[in-house]
Amino acid sequence: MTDDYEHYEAVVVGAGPGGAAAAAALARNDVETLVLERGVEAGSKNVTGGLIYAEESAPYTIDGLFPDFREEATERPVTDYYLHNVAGDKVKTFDITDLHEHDTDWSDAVLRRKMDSWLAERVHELTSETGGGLLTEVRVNGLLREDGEITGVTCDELDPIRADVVIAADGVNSELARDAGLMDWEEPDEWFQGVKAVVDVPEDVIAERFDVGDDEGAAHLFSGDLFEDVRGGGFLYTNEDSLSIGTVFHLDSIVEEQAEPQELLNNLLTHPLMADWLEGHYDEVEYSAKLVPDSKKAAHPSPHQGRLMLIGDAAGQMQAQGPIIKGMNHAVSAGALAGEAFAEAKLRDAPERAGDLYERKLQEEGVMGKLRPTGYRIASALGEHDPVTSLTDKVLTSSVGRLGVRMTGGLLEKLYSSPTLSQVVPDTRTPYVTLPTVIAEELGERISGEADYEPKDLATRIGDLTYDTDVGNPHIELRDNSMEASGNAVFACPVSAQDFGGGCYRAEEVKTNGSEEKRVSLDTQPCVECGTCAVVADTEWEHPRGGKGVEFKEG
Amino acid sequence: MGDEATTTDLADEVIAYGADVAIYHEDERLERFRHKPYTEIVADMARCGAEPPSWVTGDPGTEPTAEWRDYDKPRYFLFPATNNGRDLSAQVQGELDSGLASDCSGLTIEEELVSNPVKTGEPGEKVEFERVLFMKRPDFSGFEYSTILCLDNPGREFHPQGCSVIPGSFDPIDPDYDREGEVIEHDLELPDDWFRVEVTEFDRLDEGVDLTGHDVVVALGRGIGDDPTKGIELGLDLVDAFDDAALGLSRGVVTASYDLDGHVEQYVAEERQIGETGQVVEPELYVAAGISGAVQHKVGMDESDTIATINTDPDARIRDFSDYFIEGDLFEVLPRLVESVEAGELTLQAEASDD
Amino acid sequence: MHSVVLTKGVPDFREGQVSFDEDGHLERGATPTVMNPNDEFALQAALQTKVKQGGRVSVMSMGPPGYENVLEEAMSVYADDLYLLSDREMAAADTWSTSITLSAGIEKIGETEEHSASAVTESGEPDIIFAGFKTADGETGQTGPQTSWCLDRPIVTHVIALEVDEDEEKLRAKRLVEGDVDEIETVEAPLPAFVVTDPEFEPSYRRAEHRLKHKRFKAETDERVENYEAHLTTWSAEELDLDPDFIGLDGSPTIVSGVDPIPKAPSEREATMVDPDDAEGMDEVLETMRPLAGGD
Repeated sequence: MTDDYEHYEAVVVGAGPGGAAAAAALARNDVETLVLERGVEAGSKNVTGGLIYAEESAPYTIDGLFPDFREEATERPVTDYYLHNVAGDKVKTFDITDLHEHDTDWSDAVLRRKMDSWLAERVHELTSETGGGLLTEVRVNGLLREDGEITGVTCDELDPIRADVVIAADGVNSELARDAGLMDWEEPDEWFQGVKAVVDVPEDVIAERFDVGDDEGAAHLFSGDLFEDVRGGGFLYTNEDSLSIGTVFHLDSIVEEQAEPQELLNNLLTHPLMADWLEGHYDEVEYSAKLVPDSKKAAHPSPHQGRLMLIGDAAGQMQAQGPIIKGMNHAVSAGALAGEAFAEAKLRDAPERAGDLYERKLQEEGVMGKLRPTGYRIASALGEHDPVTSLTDKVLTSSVGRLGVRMTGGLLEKLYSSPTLSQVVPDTRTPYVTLPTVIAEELGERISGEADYEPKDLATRIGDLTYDTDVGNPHIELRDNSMEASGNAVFACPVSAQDFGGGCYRAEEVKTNGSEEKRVSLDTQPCVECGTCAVVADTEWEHPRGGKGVEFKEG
Repeated sequence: MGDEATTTDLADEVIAYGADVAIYHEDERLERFRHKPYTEIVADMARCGAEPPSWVTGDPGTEPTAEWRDYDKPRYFLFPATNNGRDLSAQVQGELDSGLASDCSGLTIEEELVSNPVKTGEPGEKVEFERVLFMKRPDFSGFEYSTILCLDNPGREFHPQGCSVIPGSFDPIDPDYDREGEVIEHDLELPDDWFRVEVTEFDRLDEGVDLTGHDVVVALGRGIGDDPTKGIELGLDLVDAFDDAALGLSRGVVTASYDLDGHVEQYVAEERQIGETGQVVEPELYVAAGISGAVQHKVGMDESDTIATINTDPDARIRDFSDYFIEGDLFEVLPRLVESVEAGELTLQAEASDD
Repeated sequence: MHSVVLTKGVPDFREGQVSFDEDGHLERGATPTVMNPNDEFALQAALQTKVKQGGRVSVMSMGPPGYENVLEEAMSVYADDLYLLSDREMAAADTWSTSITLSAGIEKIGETEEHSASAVTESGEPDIIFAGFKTADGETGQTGPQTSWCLDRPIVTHVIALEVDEDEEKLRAKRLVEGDVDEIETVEAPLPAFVVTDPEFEPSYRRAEHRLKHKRFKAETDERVENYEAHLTTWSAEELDLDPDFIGLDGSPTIVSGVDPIPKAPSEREATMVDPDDAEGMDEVLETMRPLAGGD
């Protein structure tokens, strides 16, 4: 029955900003385009910190591709940007608005359900004109190969579909990228894990407590000792009538420290600074998590194979520029460039050249330069060795180092605002923990707030999420349930915790032939599909079928 | 009705179960239920072969007072309320221009004084109807019982009074295979045209374990973790002590990585899970052993009549939706329950035999 | 293909909607009327037929003028046009007089060019009639089979999957059969036919083009429903040429003689704490268990 397969010129997998940009570029070039999204609605599977940027130097911006984007799909622009160095209740705040504004045309806080579903409607209108359209609740589960060549996609819900080009915009856990062998889940140090709570706060309270007007918004970053020794930081962004409060940590650091992500988030939520902002208004409505690729290490330099092109998170295109994380803007650029590349190749009657053309465009338009800066490779060669880290830490915490910090206080703020430096800071605990702690201890002011609320416990957070469980069909299987192979998931998984039985992963004492052994067991029901366990445990990892699994209302 | 294989022993069996007359129709084409021929045959049996009447006005032929209506047999017509039985009942009663109630759980025959003018023909007057079948049935999405009567109109007779009966609502009488009865083979030409719907395939539906519809459900939770094999064994012992019980599990047990001995391994499967993503049960008695009581579990069992819980932790959430909370270790409490229930059974039997 | 879907308005039995009086009887007036939930599956089956074969989906109901909102709800799932059979004479009908009324409505659809859109029937009657299994109030499951009997159509009930072959003028369906063992039957029936969907019915769209079409039709019906009255035809008993003795209460063999509430399990429980070493306490628990004892 293979003659019966449907054919579309282009199939775009995933309706996030990258997929939307690709589809828009294809449709504008009259390419017949089918977009397949696995969520019940675009955005229901997506989580962001979340700021979206429009860079002055970028080849494409989201509002360029989708007029009215900012009016219809975003929350507040970021007009004030602060970095808080924290040591206990001492805080030293730097204004890094300058760094934020470097190469930034605009930057808005977003919630993905609202943003992506708005984009999806535009995409459906555009692609319908070409004879295609956008479908939700369809999970593409792999590549269709004929005679060894990629010729399309296979899906859970549909018969195989042939395409001249397949654009994989299926996110950080892209099954297509892994099917093609272009990406893997092997090394924890290539990933960050982000965890977020959306807290409903009335508009007027936001205006008053963050000192922002109607068309203004604030971004606050946090680093220092409030996350113990885990490398990473916290953030708060103002939405229209809610706050996005979250943390981002190096996954390898979570594993090393055996840290509980939701507890680290709670540390942030109850910090005196946060207590002042949230007093009387801690109404947490959604807990979510996401894996974030570190483009410096994970961005694929040649993200294509045959008719397949990877864009956005699927290709590791998430730039951590010091404290500022940029992902969606690069996905938009890459998506539009991939679409453009196929249209051009088709015009030249050589559609098979689209991948090479896309790779060249990523280079020429400067996207790859931002994702994998050359400076980082030199700095990290030196900076990420343990002895060097220990040495720097020792100097910093010594009286001499502390004196230096006190004397250079003003200079430090400038230093933090340097875009060149922020791109190349090594991923050690020095910039994340030691330095901010010392800065706060030496220069900080004491903050007196005390939280009048208890952060929600994990059981409540899971209970508040919406799931459509695919009963009898778990999407993750444990290949090895020994503590050695998979025990890290018990704490690293954001919906699991040690001594908590209601999450995905738990450790159990099991009696075997008289002797007791600790084992890991898995229940995929509370899964938020972040992909953490795919990296830290030994699993067979897939996404749930279309429309199944967790459904984020905020994202 | 059916093919040879179906009908051969069935006539004798229904007589053993109390029938005086068994009418059967045998045809290879009747192997599986098909609406048209089944309905035509049953209606013809009811009319004893008389010409079918035209119940829609106008058609020439038999008037509503045709010969077959002159006697009032059969007076009642009972069908099983299964998927096919319900369809058959509706169409047969339609063909006979009479009425019926579906899914009945209680039936009585009584006189009834009726005042409904449609039935009496005289507004304001009451008329006594004899030997009326009172058909009691749950409806309104399980909120109410309605009692339905099928009564003649003054100008139009409605009989037989029909109903479909929920299987299991009445206890069968003990069969007596020496009982005698009349067996009649029914004769009717079945035109090919009646077999226009064709059954091309049929497969058994693999539904797995059904925990619903039992008197008792014994459910085990992660409290069995200290010795899962022993825990399952004890649960099964209690199941066996009851007349009609089934073994259920919490999700925690289903997803655990227990090492179970071969003989109990088969019982730990998702098909036994109770709760939001498993089965929803409402037995007379629900015994929850070692279950903490997540909300997801609650929705699967909190319509049970009585809920008895065994748990070491008096603060376990399940306490909020239990009638009895036995604060203790299931490995100690379960064997005692088994013993007592079995002993109670003996006592009851002893009492019964003393009478 | 021209499909007609039969639907009925029923009390909204969902928690928070349904009202009962002090004696536990349903309060009709205080409980909103909605489309019978099971009819959604019949609508889905008809929509699937339209997506794959083209044609039209009509929805028909018998009821008082207040039932228009039920038809509006049906159109929000999918309908090209709506029919309401409405007359005082039709009131208080049981399943048999309802079936006689509905079959007259279906025949009338076929009689005039304006309403007829059949693909296979010579009479112009609709190609497939769809009905859901059981209404949430009467819960009889009789009206579908009886209406089909009035129309003398081949009927397939408890349908969980459906494919229509327009060229061969037949349908292929999977249906659920209960019995000592539950089975799934595959059956073939010639068109025109009558299909009763099971609540387990699932539409099947394995091609993107069908899903895109489905999405388009849904958008169209969303727009149409804003102005659903413009797509509604109402017929009285006289227009249907129905004998008053055969419809409504007058034409009903059965009447309801009594209604009793069914007791519900307690919604809140207070646990009696039992110490397993306290014989008296344990005996109280065992009291609930002993009557159920037995086994082999």
